[in-house]
Amino acid sequence: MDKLKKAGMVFSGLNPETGLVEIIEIPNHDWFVGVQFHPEYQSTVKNPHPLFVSFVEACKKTI
Amino acid sequence: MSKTPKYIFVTGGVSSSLGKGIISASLAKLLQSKGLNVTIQKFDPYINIDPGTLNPYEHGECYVTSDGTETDLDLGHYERFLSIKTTKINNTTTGKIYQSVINRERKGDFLGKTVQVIPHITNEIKRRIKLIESEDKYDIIITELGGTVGDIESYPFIEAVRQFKWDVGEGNSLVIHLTLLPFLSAAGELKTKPTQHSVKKLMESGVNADIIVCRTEKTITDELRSKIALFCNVDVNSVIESIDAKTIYEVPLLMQNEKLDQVVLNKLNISKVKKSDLSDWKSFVNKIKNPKTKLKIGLIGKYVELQDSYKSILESFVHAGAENESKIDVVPVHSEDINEKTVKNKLSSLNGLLVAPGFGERGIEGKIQSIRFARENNLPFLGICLGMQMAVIEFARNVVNLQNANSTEMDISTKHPVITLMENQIDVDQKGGTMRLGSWKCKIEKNTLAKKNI
Repeated sequence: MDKLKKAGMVFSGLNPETGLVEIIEIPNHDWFVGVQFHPEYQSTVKNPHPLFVSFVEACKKTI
Repeated sequence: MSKTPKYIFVTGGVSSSLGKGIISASLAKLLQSKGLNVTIQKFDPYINIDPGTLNPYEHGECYVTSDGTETDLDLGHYERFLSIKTTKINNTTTGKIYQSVINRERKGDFLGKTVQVIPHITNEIKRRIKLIESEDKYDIIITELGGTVGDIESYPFIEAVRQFKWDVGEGNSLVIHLTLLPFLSAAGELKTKPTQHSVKKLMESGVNADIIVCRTEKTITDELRSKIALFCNVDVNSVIESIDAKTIYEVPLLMQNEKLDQVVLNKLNISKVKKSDLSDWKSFVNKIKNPKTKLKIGLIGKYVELQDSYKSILESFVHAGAENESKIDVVPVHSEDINEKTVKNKLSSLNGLLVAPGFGERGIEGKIQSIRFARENNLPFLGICLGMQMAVIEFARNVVNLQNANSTEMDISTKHPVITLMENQIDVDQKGGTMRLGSWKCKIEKNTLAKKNI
């Protein structure tokens, strides 16, 4: 993990009980996120998942 | 409000894939908007214990509830429409029913008796229909029966519904039968015969449909409504048109126009309800129908040919797209079609890239290639589950220069195991119910995209 961190990958979400990595990012990139959990099972009409909303917002900026 | 819940059963006839899940969720939405506490459960007639081991080509996506249960994709619709959380209790299969009856038989619970479909299996079905009552104080419980009336696997369920209706008495339950009115272009008209036969089939099992919902691509005339009512033993107001919609999210509004909610409330003798307010829902549907921009987002996976296998991802994009007033064209890209030569051609016209969850070695090099392309070309990237793991491997290989970095799931002897199988997964040889699923705690770092967006 240290080598990856040094090269610019951020482990932004960790499971406090097991230490497993849940979220990674590359800050040196406009929008680069990996998640171990499943945001797609949490999105509803009333509450669209913020990660998807933010991702689409980033995609919009590429136009 | 009623003290004991009222029960609605939704059955399907003529054909599968008519959208029982959407009709059930839409009705639930309408009743919820009138201040009623509603939930939905799905009973699937297949013999698998859960759909976790089913190939997505067979049965579409496997929806995972927050308690980590692998369930039918219709539960996804229920949660997305109603903003409720479902659990393992909301999805039952023939497999689960037989398993519990057989376990009880082995324990000696039926000692001396012959264990039979009626009453033992049907009793277990009826017990499970009511199981959800203990969860919350529901006014209405909707039970969707998978499969099509007439299937061998469906019989015990239909019989259990017949008995259940009898047990709870008039005005406390009703059956909605969803059918198809095919349009024959040669005759230039909608045909009601398959509907008549399917309702008859249901009646042979002693179940009268109280409401007929007709899936159709053309408007149903009053004459046709009367004909269906006459042949199917229902009043004409109980013949509901369900015309093809631009988006599934329009269906609750169409059902409201057809007064499905009102017919249901009348039949269940429920009168004290508040006026329904669907203004937020309407504005959401308007945003879907009138987008200001169009985006192309690549979906890389190995089951992309079949839309249903990534249902929840596609729906999440519909929600997020409406929020951004954008129409999102999700472009399926098969991970095995991507290599060093094709990657640019396949991905350069996209506005973003999502690498989907999955398992196994097939197609992973294609996923890694596409992630590299996204990283090097500053293309917005979201990787989920295996998609995240591949992003770590790609970074280790191409940025940190750990050549052949891999996951021990794919290559047990890799020199640079940047992803390892969890210890309790190494010896897994039984299939089904073995993954780490459901909700887990997560600590989030400050000043990250994760902090801002979760």
